[in-house]
Amino acid sequence: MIDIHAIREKYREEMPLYDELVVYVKKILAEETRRKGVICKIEGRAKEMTSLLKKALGKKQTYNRIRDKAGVRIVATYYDSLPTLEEIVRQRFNVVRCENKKLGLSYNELGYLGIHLDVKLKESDLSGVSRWFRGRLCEIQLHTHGQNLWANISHELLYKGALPLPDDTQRSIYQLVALVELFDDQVKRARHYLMAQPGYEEAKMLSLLEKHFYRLSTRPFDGINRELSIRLITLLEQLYTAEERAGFGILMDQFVASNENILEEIFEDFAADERDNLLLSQPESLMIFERLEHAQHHLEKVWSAEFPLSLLSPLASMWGKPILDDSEL
Amino acid sequence: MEPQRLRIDRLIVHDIPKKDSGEQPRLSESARPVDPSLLNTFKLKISDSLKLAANDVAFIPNCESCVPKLVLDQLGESPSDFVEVSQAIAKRLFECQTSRNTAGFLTVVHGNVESKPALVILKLEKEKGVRIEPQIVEGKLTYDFEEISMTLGTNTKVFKIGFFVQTGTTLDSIVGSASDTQRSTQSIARVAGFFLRSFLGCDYREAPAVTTMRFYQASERYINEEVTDPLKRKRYEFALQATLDSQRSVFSPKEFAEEHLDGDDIDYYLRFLEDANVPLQQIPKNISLIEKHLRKMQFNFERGTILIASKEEVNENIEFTSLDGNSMRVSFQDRLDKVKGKI
Repeated sequence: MIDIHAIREKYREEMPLYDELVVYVKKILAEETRRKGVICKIEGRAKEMTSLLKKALGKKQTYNRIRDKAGVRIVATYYDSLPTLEEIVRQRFNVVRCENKKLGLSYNELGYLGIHLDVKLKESDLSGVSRWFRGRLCEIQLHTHGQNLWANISHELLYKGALPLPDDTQRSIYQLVALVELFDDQVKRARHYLMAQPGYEEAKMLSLLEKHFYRLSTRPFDGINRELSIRLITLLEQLYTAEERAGFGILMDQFVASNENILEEIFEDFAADERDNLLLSQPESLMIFERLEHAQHHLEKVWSAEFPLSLLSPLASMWGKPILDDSEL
Repeated sequence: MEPQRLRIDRLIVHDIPKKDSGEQPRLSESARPVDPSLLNTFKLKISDSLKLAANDVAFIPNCESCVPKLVLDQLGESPSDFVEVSQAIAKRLFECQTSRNTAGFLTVVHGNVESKPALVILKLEKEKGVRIEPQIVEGKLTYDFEEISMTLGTNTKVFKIGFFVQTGTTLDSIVGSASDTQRSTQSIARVAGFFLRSFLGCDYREAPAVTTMRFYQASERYINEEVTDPLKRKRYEFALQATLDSQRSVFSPKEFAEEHLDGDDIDYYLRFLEDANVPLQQIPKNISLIEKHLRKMQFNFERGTILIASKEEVNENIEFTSLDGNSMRVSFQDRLDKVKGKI
């Protein structure tokens, strides 16, 4: 028989520690996903007391058999990011169990999707933190936005209902599941199609810049203005030869690698200072720094045809290439 | 050392009056914490000023000024009290100023550049200005005038600044750059080097005559090796000579490029100079080593013809016409003075 009172007492004692574990796991994941330039949202919490007790009663599980006392969910913007996210989790944690919900469905079945991994902290991550974390499980779920939406709704519709649903209602719900799968597939397909189009260079350049920007910047992902990004990139790409545009990814990789320390310092010192530095919160700031280094005069000339030089000036100063006033000529 | 990488940890300001005002310096007694965004403003001002106008300097051995020893102390592992040292530096500035020097704020900034300890000493000059604000008085638009005092406005340039980074443990291992110029670059005479020499105890690491010569030589090499259009070559050479022959006491390669070179050539020219280790910021001009090269221009043609003429003649009386294949026609009218054999 499940001793619910004992479970309650034990979890009351340990819940704050599971909260801390979630915070720590989220921090590790945030650093790693930024480092790899994967755009995603990371959320998590310790399981609520009521939910834990109900799971113990409903599934007749002992306290130790409940594996998701600490739960973290990573919601990827793009379906293609899921393999990278799984790789990140496998590299940074000891994976005790992995379940890809999609693999459990046959071709003619629809259902809950996502990848669930039960993990423990690696030895190298245990120094400087509570010894209590050693051996403790955390469940990490990997979802796309579509899968995340379905996961939230299905929980309410299918698993929390007091009575079983009639067939036609269940059918409607599974149509929603099909729609979610279709949504993710179509987003992935549309993205691949668009990126392959000849005129889509700006979007490709943005994607290459984002990879470095998210690693260097401490800005939240939703602070980027994409219309401004495309407008700036369209302006700045004139500053590159056709050959440089074709090898833009390598060019930026080399630039960032050669200037990693100074870029980190700039983002650390100025990113929080909103007064004149709004360009620092856009990935194109890396392109601007690169052009300041290699073609400052050309950049100033092209820039001033569309934007005031006063917008460029703070970045020029940060890079150590101040813009001369006309009054100084 | 790149000044834009300066990270400031403390800063103090002392009020230095004019020498003949009868007042004494008002010295701060503590270094108050400064808002991080204000520190960023200072950092960019310092960096911009150094990048535009400073040159490499070294401390003069056994000089009269106490500043080198104080800088060495502050960049050491066990520095003396920052406030007391900055006060001593402020007193030294007041001592060596003359009645020609304006009042200002002596600012001492301590920080680091790539983890190496750094000290910046700058004099911020007080400026009087007028604030003009629109107002409605008795239903009519008018403007209100208010006299204000300003020290570090958006467009203020810091012209007296010393930036020192310790790369070792001795006075010689301190890498410095400093600027000591008038506000106006049109001035014939530079401000007497009181700030650089009497106060900071420094001198330029490379004599201005040598730097000027290196700029001239690198620029001529660029013109002759990288510019193919003959008319453009003539134009650039003329501008180079005119710039160096002008009355201005300072010049800036970057300004020269922006004023005289075609847009497409500027970035490459500046990289060419950088590769030749020619500084791009403002340089005190001294043409003593190249003076005779500036008197005339010489054009050497492929088949052996040499034309030597003054700049005035080149500009006013000799016509150059560009032809196909990078060749040119040169024509001028003059009375023949002498003809003779030449080896």
